[in-house]
Amino acid sequence: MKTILHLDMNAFFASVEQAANPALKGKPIVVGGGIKKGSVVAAASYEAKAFGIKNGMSTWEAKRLCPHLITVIGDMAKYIYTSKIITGMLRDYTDLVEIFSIDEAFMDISKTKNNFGGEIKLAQEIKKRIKKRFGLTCNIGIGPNKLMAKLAGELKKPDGLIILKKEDIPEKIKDVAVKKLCGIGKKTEKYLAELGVKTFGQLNKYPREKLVKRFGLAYGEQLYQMGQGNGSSTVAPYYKETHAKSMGHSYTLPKLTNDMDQVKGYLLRLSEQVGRRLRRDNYRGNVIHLSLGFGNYKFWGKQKKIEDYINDGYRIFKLAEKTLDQRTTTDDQIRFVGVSVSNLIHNLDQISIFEPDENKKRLLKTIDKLNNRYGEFTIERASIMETILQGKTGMVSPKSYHLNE
Amino acid sequence: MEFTCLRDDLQKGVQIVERIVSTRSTLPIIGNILFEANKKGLKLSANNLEVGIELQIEANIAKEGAVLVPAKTLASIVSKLPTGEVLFKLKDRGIINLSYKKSNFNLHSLPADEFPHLPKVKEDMAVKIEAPILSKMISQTIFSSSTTDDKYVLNGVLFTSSKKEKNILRLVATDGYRLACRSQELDEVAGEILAIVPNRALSELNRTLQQSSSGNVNVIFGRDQISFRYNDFYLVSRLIQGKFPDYHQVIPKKSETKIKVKSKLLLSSCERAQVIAASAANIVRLEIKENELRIIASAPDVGNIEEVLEVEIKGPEKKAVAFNVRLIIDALRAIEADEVMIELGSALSPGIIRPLNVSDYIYIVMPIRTQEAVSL
Repeated sequence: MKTILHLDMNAFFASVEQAANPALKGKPIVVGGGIKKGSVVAAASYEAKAFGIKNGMSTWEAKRLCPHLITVIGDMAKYIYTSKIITGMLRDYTDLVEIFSIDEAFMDISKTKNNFGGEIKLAQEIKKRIKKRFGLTCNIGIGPNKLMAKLAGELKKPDGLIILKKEDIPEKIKDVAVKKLCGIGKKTEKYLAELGVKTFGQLNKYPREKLVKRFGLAYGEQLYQMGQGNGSSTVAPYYKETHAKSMGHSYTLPKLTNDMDQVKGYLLRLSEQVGRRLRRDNYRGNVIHLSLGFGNYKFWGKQKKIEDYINDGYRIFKLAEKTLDQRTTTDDQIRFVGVSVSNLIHNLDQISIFEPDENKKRLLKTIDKLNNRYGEFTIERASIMETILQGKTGMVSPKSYHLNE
Repeated sequence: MEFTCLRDDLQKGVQIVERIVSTRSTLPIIGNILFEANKKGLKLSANNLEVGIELQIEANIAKEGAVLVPAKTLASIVSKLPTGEVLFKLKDRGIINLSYKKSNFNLHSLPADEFPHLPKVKEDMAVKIEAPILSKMISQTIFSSSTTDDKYVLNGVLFTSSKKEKNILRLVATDGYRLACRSQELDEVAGEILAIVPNRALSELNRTLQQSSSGNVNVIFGRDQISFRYNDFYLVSRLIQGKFPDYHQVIPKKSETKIKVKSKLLLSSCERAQVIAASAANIVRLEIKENELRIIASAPDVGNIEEVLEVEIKGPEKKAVAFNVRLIIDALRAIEADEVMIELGSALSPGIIRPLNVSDYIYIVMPIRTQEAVSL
């Protein structure tokens, strides 16, 4: 029997902001894109949640619910920095740490828990360390698999620590709503309700054949297994992940634009981020893909293959920019920009014949080192300082906030 | 304007000039071929504003004149014509009539006056080279040049000659990872030459030169342009402006280990290794030990290969260096010598390939830093 631990930071973005600025402590705050038209709440502090403010709600509506609400513009660099350090702490307890999202992680502590006085002592120590370092709280759930561990974490918020043992299932959680199970969304919840299944206990007793009949063989079987409290217990540390096929970043602009200089500004920043990520994971690629989204929800994309395998953000940008300039129709207003590099090679570097090219590689390495040490974007191109990506964006994929090893 | 000529002559001429015609330009007129008939004969010209070609072909001129004909349409019809005589006639309202046997077709044309005529190169330096020699010089270097847009100055071959070595003309090409340098002693090269000639122009020139066995090419170097005249063929190209990297510096002064090997055997081994290496970024490892050269490649989902060649080794005998096998194959194909000398240094220093006992050619290839090399 495995012991899986799930850690979920409480109101992560908002709490980080409160920790960074003591004046915000104990106050209702939301993190998002400011109070511009169309911006939404990316994260609300517990004080704000008390007013009925939820994540994803428009900032304007949140303001209506709580007139003295403080809005903070999201600062991804801060969250990534914090997340990385926490991940580093988790690795002190097991090497099997799977980063699930910026504020969630799974750990397989089956073999190591006894070195720390058992799972409860271990979990308490983690909570204590995070609290001491950042003043942040988290939920920890422990269970025989990832599904049950994550569910356990859902049971008491904030600052909870709940253990579900095999023998506790289903009795201890029979009244828990099915929507709390990871993998059951709004739609499934509704369909299950139509079958009279609202709680875990009901799902646990519901016949397999009927689930299969209603949801099909694959998903029906999965729901049945979930009802029995079964789930995967494989914790996949990122360094064991299969090789990446491509790496990219995208960003939805704050508002529609035809201003190509502005679009290029974002493109440069995104390209630099792609380059940074390629270098961090030791990849290079020679296919550069540019994608644009327009106000009318149309998309346009084009890729270009070159001889060299590259990981230099500026070269990625120059190639993407060229593709952008070759676009013939320019009527539609742009809403979304994305750039990615594919056809990747790993751990290989064709040495250049001319010293200046090798020097450029060394320069990038040094900048990377500084950014690793002092936080993301400590050193960046002056020309992209104006294009700060605000709030929760599509730019952060799990890999970019992994601890550098 | 009216002339008759043989289909084969016309087809050959159109094919040569048509290759450089650009149809995607913002200047539609350069999508045409200029036909000029005068006392001297028939001249075809194309110009894509970077490279221009003129070609004289045999024809019986009945009436002088000039006209522009859409290149792609003409080329595809001419290539399908039956052999024999073709009559070309400019009729009213710019209609061209081409008749062959009992059939004929009409094609719309444009007046010749707006066509951008090929510029005359203002001469700084002139050089005369035998066609087969120039052809070989180009073949042995051009493949090393870059085709990547963002390495603009490397998108061509450097033609260079210095006052120090008065009668040596050198062609140098590099893509930043390998470099090929071919020198040739000529009867007379007077002074300094430093010109980067675009790949595109040289490959068109070489297409013509490769079919020749004798005769001289007259090369005229200008400040911004270069021209090549060979018999009835004339090509003019703009030069790439910019500073070619200092290639003298990258040629290693001496190397640790020298390996003498039969080129054909090595080429075949590399070609076999590439079958596997193709799935692994083209990487092969060259290992030497006790008079054996091993070429090793492996790809996780494909398989692996180990080629062993008996060689003569001078210098330290234990070495392993990783290379992109394509860069090695390119050189072996270009060198055309029975035996080559491979020179290796450390895992991160350049490898050299040169034909044995000939000092006019050197090829430098940089290794690949692999994980093993990093940990060394």
